[in-house]
Amino acid sequence: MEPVQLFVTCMAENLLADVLEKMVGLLERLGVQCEFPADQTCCGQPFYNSGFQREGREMALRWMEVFAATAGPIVAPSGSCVEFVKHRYPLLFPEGSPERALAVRTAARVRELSQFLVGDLKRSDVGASFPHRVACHSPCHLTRGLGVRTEQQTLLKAVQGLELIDLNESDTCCGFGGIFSVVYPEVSQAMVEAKVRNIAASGAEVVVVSEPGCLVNIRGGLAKMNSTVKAMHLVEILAAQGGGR
Amino acid sequence: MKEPMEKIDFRANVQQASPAVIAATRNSTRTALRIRGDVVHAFGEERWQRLRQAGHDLRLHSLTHLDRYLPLLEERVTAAGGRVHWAADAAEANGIVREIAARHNVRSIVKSKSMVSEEIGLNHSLEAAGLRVYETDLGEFIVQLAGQKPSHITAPALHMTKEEIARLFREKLKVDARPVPEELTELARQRLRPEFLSAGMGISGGNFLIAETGTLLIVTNEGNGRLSTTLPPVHVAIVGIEKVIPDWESAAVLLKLLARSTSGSKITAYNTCITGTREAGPQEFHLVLLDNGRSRILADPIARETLLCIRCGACMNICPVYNNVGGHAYGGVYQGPIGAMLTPQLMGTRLAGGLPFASTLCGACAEFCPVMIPIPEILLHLRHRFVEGDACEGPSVPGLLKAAAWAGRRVLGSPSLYRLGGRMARTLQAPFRRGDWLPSLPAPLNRWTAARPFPAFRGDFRSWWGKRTAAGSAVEPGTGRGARP
Amino acid sequence: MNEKLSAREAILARVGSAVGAFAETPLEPPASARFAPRRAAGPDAEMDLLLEEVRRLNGHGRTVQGPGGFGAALAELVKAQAVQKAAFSDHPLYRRYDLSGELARLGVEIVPPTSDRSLVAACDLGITVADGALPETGTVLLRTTTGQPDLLSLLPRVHLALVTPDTLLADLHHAFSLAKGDRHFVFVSGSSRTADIEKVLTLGVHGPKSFHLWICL
Repeated sequence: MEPVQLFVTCMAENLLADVLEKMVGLLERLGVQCEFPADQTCCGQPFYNSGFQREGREMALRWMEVFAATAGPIVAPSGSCVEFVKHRYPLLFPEGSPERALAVRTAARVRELSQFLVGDLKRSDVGASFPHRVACHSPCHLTRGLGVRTEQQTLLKAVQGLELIDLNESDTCCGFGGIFSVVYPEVSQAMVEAKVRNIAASGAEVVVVSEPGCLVNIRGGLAKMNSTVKAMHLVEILAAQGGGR
Repeated sequence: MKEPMEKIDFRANVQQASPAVIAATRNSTRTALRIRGDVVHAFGEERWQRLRQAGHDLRLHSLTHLDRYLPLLEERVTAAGGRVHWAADAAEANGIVREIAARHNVRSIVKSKSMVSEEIGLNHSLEAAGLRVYETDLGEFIVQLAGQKPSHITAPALHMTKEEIARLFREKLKVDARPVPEELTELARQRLRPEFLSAGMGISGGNFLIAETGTLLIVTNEGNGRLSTTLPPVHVAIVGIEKVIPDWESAAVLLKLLARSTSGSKITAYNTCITGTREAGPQEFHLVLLDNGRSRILADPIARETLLCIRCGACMNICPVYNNVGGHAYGGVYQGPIGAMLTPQLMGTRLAGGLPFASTLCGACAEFCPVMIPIPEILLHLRHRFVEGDACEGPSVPGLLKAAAWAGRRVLGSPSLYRLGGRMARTLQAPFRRGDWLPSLPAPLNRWTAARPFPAFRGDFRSWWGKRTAAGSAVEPGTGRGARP
Repeated sequence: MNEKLSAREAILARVGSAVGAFAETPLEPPASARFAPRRAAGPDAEMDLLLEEVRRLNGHGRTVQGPGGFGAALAELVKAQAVQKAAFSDHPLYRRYDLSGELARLGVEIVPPTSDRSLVAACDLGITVADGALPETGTVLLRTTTGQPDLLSLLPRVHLALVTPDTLLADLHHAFSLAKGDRHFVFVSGSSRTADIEKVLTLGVHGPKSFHLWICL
């Protein structure tokens, strides 16, 4: 199998380095060799989604050029960043341009981690063990945007000892929304509080939040509301073998 | 006569929303979503998706052929004895209605629900001319009595509890009202029945205009739409030019989508089809076709799809932002995602440019929209219009934010500056750090930390990667915390 | 008048330039914009469905068998709804069932539909004969004529719609092709209703509070 290119995303790189390290560990445990194009920076989504389309386009071009020097699947622990590359990049450049052609080729290579594990590696059981009650948040861009609706559950159900429990309003947005969270902080807060209340009511010990932005938001919300529930990225659970949380 | 328009400050409006309003809003939308879910499930998910696609393609076809459907409609309405008026903006539309009222010596008017009449401030214009105007849709009646604005396009009083409404009725109608929906409804019926029977003019909106036969189609559940358009001697319908559809086959598709999305029913209680004048009906039928910015929206290939909207209200029912702020926060006539799209296009992003940012781009609305309006896409388009400007409008974003974006792009777009930035963040956070968290940060970052702490910049993936590559992949994952400041 | 003409021309010019790129495309909506109508089941199943849907709308649906059955059902309705005044137009079906005679025997005052609207509004019962019925939604099609004005199904507090089995239609599409040449027609599904106060379904806002549909066999 050809090596995968790690798309670490600026958010995970700066705030969730341990998630990235565990992702590498997990992929290697499954026999997948990882490569890290070190010149990668932000994919441009935060700019584009805030209305700065010109800046977004320039950053997208840079990002594509970095990955153009590599081959094989590009895997990220984020549905949002992957969706941006997959769906937005081709639309950023005029039809018929070489940039457009590159964007289309790049878009075909990107995968969100659970999508890669289930869709490409055809794995549902990755040999993890995690004996805890776990609820699962459905990140908007992963599910609605990228259409990855069942893969997380498929992987979680195969984890040894894991009890997957229902989360009320699991597909309701947690209130992160990129720039939204700082433009309208009061609304963002109300939304994350609603999410935390649902998580608390679920009876879970751990909530899976497989999107860096949502994870930072929900983790913060849980801390603010003094919840004992722990928010974890899917990778952290799939990497676990000893059973501790 | 145009009222001077004020800038909409969504954040300030949100801060004014009371918890009671938000609780009432949520209770109502939750019920609405449940019954909608049941009726869509019964229709069949796959079949529903095909119906939505047909609705989308149909509405888009109608819009892109409006130049031909509008004159056809006008010809058919006129042939059936109706009078067609064209209004470029709110002032013209209001003037046309006042002029018709004056000609017939009208003193009181019954109105069935019409968002367009809210958009042009019709009641205000008529009342200023000395006319009495009665809103007859129960929700609109309540909101008018309270001196408020609707908070939802199909359920205007959604933000009020039965207790508040009972108090309002006691105070304004001088009646003994208990907080029982059936009794409150009966009180409104008794209050309005005489007005229906004596009004000199009935005003309605219109859900669709069918070009094929020149027919106005109005759907209501309460029957006020029928009474307003049957009893008074003059009927004036004010309808946006985007509401024209080709034919009755189109109406069949759209009515199925509308009833299910609006009220969770298979069909609305009353569908009224009016073509011009008729024996034993109103002597005159006037159709006011309103532009008020719609032709400008139509010219923009991306924003154009805003006009596909059939005003069902499903987007706001499902919207997590709407459900946490209530309808009044949107400051305009239209609320929720449709308001966030339409209001900045009607008023301009200079006045309403904050609304497209009142969304997390979660996409729930687009999944529910019965005519598949790509709502997040249009919001992004309007954010861009606000920030960088486009063919429609110049930029309105503050210069400071522009400079910040420029700097941000320089840093995040250059590998060396990016790495430097990461290292700086890990150093600069020290005074704010409490364990794994940065509980409070200086402005403007306090906009985040007021709501929840920010995680500390921990670990350093690049040095972890570098070390393990050097050591031949010997470093345990998740332990590369050596670079902690 | 000139000003209005100019508003018309200005709007159409703006619309024309906005959609100019589509000027050469056909005016017929694309096939993808169409949706196949529902197909009817057998006559009995359709009648059952109609009655079931009427009940689902909090209405009262039943069949009546011949003049005898009709008379009995009418007596029941008049009693249950305390009907004192009724309005209806002229229709062969009424003559067949001797509607006027039955109501007179039940002591119900008959108000002609062309009376002053306040008299019609004061009626307890309005009776109509449907021009079509849609089983899928529990709907009746009422084509407005001078003989059967819209007010009959609108002002009295009880609405009784009579349906004959030959008028059942599979879907809205069929009803539209039947009535689209008319100046005025309505589709009525149940009684007047609202959910404007706390989403609580409340029957009888401005129109009838009680809806009855009888299939006349």
